[in-house]
Amino acid sequence: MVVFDRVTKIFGSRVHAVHELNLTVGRNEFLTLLGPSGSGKTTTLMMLAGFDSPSSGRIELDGQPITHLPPNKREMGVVFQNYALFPHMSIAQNLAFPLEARGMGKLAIRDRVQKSIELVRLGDHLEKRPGQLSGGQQQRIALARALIFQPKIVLMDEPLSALDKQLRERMQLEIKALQRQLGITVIFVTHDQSEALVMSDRVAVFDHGRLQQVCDPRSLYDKPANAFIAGFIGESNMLAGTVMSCQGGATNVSTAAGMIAARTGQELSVGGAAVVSVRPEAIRILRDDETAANTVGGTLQELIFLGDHSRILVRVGENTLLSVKLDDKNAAAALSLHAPVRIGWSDADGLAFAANG
Amino acid sequence: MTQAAIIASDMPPASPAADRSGRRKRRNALLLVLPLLIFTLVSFVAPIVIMLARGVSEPEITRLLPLSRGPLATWDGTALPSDDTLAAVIADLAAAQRQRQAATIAKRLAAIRSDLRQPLLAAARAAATPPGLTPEGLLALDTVWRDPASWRALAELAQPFTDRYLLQTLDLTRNASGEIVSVPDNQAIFLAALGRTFGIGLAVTLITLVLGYPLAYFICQQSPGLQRFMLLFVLLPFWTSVLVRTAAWLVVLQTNGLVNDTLMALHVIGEPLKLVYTRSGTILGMVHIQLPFTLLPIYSVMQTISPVYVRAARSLGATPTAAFWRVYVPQTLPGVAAGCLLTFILCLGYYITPAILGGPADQMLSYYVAYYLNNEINWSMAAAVSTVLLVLTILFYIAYSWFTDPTAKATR
Repeated sequence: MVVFDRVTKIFGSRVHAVHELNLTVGRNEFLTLLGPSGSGKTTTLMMLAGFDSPSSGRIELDGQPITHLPPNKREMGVVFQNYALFPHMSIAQNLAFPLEARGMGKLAIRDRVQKSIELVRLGDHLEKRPGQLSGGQQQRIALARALIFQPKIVLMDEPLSALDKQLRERMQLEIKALQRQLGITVIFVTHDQSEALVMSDRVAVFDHGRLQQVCDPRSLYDKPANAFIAGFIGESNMLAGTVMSCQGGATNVSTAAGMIAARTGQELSVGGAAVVSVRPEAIRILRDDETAANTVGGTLQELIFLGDHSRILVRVGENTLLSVKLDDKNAAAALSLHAPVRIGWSDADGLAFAANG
Repeated sequence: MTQAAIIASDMPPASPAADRSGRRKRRNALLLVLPLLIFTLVSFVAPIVIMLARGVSEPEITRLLPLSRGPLATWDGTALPSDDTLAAVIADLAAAQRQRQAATIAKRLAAIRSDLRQPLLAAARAAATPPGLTPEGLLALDTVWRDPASWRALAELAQPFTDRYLLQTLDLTRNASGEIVSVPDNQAIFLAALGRTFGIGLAVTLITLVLGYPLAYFICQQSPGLQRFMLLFVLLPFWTSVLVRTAAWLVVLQTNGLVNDTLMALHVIGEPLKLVYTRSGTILGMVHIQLPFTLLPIYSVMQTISPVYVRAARSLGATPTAAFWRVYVPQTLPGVAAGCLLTFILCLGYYITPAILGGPADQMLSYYVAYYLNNEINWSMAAAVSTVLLVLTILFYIAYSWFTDPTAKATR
């Protein structure tokens, strides 16, 4: 439905905000652009909305080039970070604005506004001003306003970042449900990886203006394409070292914690610098008689109680701490601080990447 | 948590101790602003109150008639005053003559009835010359003194409070039977001046708005560094006195000034245009001085408007023009209202610029204040004109705050 074809945006003379972006968004898809600030995700969204034009490359919508089409002709609903509800208009006037811009009749507008406000369950607030609503209510009105003219696609620029955690989590599910119910295409920008995992059909991860990986949330978590994504999505222990051997899918890396066997995450050369990424939940504490593909001895540095589970930090080298997730929240109680501990994980649970991303 | 603790956390602190400390804080705060309060009262409020009081009283005249003002006030006004009253008047006139103040009384009396000036001066002279004047002698001195109307004029002059100056500033007066009527057309000047003051103020306000709004918008679109630089130029005129700037316009606009010489040299015009001592000269000079006052409030409001609103409007299908007029401009209206009100109210009080660049028919109300102070030495008349100006300004401010008050808007 939307195609980015080698889209590049350069600010000033050298800064590549977005570099050679190739990305296709399917119909009815919920795609999230995820990345730290300055990674190019918002610039990408602004180019799609028409507020910025690419320095080179082209953008297509339904097979039509829209690279230089003005924003008011793109038929895209945009939800902004701080909602951008017009403060001098009532909620009803805000909702009617896109319909009036399209020359719709008064009666049809009233009808559509009514339906739209019921969709977001704020029917009593039509005559209020945006300033009289709470953040969550404003957020829902902004969403209703972006949907009311039945756009082909809805763009959201960190729409939940101003809300508190509980409300944010509720709105994530609400937006996702609305997207399914209405069958619309949503492109959603966020820097919050858990938000991306909760809502998206696919996630596009950006870093330094480059698209790093596009895939569904599960693959992103299980098969990150490089060390940056492994560290950015979820939590990872990163063990730095040198590649000793790399054959087929198996790599051996010499680290501060000893020789580590892992799957090969990306192309590596023997003798090169590498990091091994291991998820905290893949590591377990070994009993004295137990062994694993990777066994590491260390001292218990910290015990962390997190309610539904526990976490321990194990010092395995001078500057290396490994975080281990214990599903049994009582398991940590049996351990004592600064005592020696043996931990291990299977060679399939480690992923070896080149050290520089 | 105990019951008491729940209540304490739910309710605002209302214990006597908390109340006492709050009161002490407020009292200390009041003590800190006391010097400013006293300064404001002495230097701002008191002069205004005294000035306003002068508009309805004439202490320098009533002071000169200490013996006669009581009897004249109780006199019924139909027959001639009693001999006692006449004796009191004669004593006051003799005292005034000896203080060389008889002419002051005569001048004010002439403002009420012009034919009484010479008879009063003559009576004062006769009263102060030995052997003085008897009541019969006063009545024999001039035929006007045998007319009760003359005495009514003097009685009016002697009373402590009067509305005749306020009436005069509205081109009104009292006729012989005390009713309020319009003055004859050839004496009516103040309503026209009032209309002119408003007209010029309105014109200057509109022109500064039309010039200032686009400039403020333009400055807002620049980078922060450039914005500071451009604002410097907007504020540059503030560094020169109004008098100097107005005089500079005189140099530029006069018959043999820069503009006329240039246009003549280019053969655009055959003879010099009359640019100074006209209404347009006045307005030009005032616009130049007032432009920053209109522009700065608009600029400061524009700075707070996030560009995201116009973007949102565009994404919702509005053309650039529609987004500007329907979304951007309405949000700048508080600044527009503040800037226009500031300029309009300042314009109402303009004196120097119309005095230098305007013709005789372009003078505004402030000119009459200065005229009555400097030329006529009539403080009460100057005070009355000032009162009208002040009341109108306050009315305008009330109207403005009513229109811009968000709570008033919400209930409309």
